[in-house]
Amino acid sequence: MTISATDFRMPVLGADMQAGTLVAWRKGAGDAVRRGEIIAEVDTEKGVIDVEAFHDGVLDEIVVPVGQKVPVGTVIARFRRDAGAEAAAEGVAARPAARPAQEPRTPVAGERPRAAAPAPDRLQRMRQTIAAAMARSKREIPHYYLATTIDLHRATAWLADVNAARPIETRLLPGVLLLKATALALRAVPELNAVWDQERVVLRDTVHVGVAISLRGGGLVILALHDTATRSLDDLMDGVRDLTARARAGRMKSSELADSTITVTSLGDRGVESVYGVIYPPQVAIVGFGTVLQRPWVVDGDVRPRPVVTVTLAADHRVSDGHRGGLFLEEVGRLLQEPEKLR
Amino acid sequence: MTDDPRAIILEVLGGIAPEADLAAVSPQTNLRRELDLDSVDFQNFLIGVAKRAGIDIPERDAAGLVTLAACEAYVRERG
Repeated sequence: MTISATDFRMPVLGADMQAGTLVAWRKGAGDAVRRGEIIAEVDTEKGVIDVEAFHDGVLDEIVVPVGQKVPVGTVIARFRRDAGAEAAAEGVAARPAARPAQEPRTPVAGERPRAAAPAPDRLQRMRQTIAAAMARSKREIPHYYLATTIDLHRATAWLADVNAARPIETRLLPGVLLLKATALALRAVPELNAVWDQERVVLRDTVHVGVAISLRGGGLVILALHDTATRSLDDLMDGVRDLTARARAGRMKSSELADSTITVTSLGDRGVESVYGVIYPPQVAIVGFGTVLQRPWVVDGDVRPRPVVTVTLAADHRVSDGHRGGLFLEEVGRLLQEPEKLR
Repeated sequence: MTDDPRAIILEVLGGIAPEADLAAVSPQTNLRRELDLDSVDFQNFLIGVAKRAGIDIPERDAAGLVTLAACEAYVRERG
């Protein structure tokens, strides 16, 4: 078996992150580590993040001790790994493919949250880093914007039907249908599922929709709902519940902060009719869903009340144009007319 | 019943809105608005209450459980 040493660097946990502080090593030198296992905890503006291993191996040496703050990209540990086991481990943001099975999880009573509400100084730093990322986005990315309104009566009726027979812990919320439809629609316009890297677009094969989650007390995070296009609605619902609960409690994982390939922002719960997002670099598109509203809708020449939602797209003109963006929104709307196929 | 419904409800809420001063929440206030709970938070809240109280909350009842008083009465009745 060939053994090779690998540097483990401070990961980039979102475009807005400059540095992180090591607050704990969960593994020690000489420990065997499995891909996806949590090896360290890093404090950032967003809270304390669980940093996962990118591959199987043995933790050889801890380079950065607890308490030290280092810029992203700094070598914080060294690994030994079976070189045949994996092709590449260069990308610090590479996602561990073998994730432990997702379990629906509500915050356990009595569990101590690590960063329930950002402290004022943390919140201020978070605002600064969000501002820096968004200013960069507006400066560098030539955005274009589109919107359309989608009839959700079939989706709403189908959901009500499915949910009627289910216990509360497996009930589906409308938002998860919208996420799945978004992920599947990217098959028609794959250039929206991509990152902009060194003056060129790099398409991503897998769709990891980043879900914008506002943090209690202010600020927000975008957490990857991994493999959005291929997971079942039930699995995605569990995933969204789990991400939301852990964002609230300040228990997020490095892969969730690093892996999104497109963002979805939904302000429906706040009663907002439509939201035009600012693209989160290095992504090239952001999709916005407003609240589901009852509106007069013309069906076969008659006006009828229908639940409708406004979906928007902000996308990068270096990568796509309004024609392709329009096809994407049309596809989202088409998929939502056949909700039973989104399962 | 093992626990007081109010204690169960406050404990679950405390896990979802850890920074909130739950003692200051009026029994008649809309919890979603008062504690800024989105639909996923609210579902997590109801799942937590259902689990801890050992009850199911059918879909038709869920939307009505918007205040502490309503939740408490509901759990007391079914628990």
